[in-house]
Amino acid sequence: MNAYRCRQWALITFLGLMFLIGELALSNSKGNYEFFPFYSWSMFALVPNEEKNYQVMIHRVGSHTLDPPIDFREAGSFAKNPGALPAYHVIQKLGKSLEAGDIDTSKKLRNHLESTYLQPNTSYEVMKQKEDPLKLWKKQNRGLSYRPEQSPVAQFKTAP
Amino acid sequence: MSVVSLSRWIRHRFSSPAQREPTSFSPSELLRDQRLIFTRSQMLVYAIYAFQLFIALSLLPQWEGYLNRPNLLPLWPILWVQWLPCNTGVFIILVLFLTGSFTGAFFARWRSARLLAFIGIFFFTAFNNSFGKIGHSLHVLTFISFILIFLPDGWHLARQPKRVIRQSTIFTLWCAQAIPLLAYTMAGLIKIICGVGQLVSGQASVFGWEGLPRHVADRLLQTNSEPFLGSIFIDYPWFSMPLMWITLYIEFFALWALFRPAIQWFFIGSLVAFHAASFFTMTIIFPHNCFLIVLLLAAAPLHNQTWTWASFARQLPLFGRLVRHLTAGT
Repeated sequence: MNAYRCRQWALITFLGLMFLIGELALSNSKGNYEFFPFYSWSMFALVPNEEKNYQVMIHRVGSHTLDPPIDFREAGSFAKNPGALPAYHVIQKLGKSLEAGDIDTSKKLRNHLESTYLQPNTSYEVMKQKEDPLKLWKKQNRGLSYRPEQSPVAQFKTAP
Repeated sequence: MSVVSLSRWIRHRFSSPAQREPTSFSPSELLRDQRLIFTRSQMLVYAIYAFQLFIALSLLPQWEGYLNRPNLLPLWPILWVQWLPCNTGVFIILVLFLTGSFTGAFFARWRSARLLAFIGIFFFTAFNNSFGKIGHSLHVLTFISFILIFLPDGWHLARQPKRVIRQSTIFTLWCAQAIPLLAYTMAGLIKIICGVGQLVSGQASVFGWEGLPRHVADRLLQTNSEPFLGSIFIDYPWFSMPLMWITLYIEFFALWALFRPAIQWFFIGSLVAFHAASFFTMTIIFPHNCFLIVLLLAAAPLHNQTWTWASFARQLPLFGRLVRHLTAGT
């Protein structure tokens, strides 16, 4: 087969693999549905209905007690870069690993969360939450009456 | 099945029936077109590597931050950094990215240079996504950099090389065009499949009125941000959902645009508008992808066809059939 035909085969095969491996990656839930660098491009594929996710509630920072405890996402200066999307994803992975009893992974993720996003001497709790995002947003911005279900997963304190 | 019959089958499935009508171009006109498209392909290669170098250089001020960034959770291509002294591996990755991009920009005629350019961006993309979450801003450029390794020897010649080298170069660039469009089609496909699943199970889906408002609300809660279109898209679904359905159509049929020159400008413009709207709604932007699709498909398209509104309408996926039926015999 001449060089031109070989090149055609190789490139078409690569495009096919990009599609197939990307779609197969949907089975890799632990790896965020991708086999790097092949991705399913499944961004915003599922419309969030009632979502189960994990939140970090901060109870105390240094000598400052927060009553009621505040959501990490709304922690402002009580945390470091609380609006960062990677922080949200680290919290989700931490929650899942804690519930699954994966001690090594949860320890790594906890270290990452505490050193990158939390202040020293912070008492916090990882909570499992069932929320309807549309209702929750309307509660925060349009005064809708709504309370998501929460259940505790684990409590920790960062180093001084 | 031979590669010739496979490519003919692919072209037949994705092109419009209107394009299969016999044309009156002579062999010399086709050859002249091929030479012009080949020259454009050469410029596209240089532009792509210049873009990669631009990205590498614009990241130089962040090197200090990268070297001091804690808690690296390395992806598989860069697991080797764990066995090197502190920060040495990261430094090697950054230098490789810069050197590879420089080499690609100035010495792309040699395959080894293009290989180094790919290795540089591949390792950097792996490193940049090794902190807890994988972003996808550089994936398309990484894949394109891989494809360009396969350019034929002699692609760079200023005096027109042999016809087979010209055709090989054009085909390689055509595959580079296919990368971002395939990614969009995959995104549209999975949205449609998930949408059907959610619709059938009685949940809110992309086919209902709450699809986009829920996505936006969820995103705004995650990031605790208030982009100016966000609340409008949530409060007025009758405005936002039709835009989402149009975007879904454009995304799913993006790969068809590769085979239908008359609709390329519309699809690329719509995708760029979609990315701009995503920023004003959910603070998500893919500037690298926007640049690449405009460069590859709008600025220097690999065809010489001038479009008309009639050819545009006839080549639209799904709707083109209706147009052809309605205008049959006129």
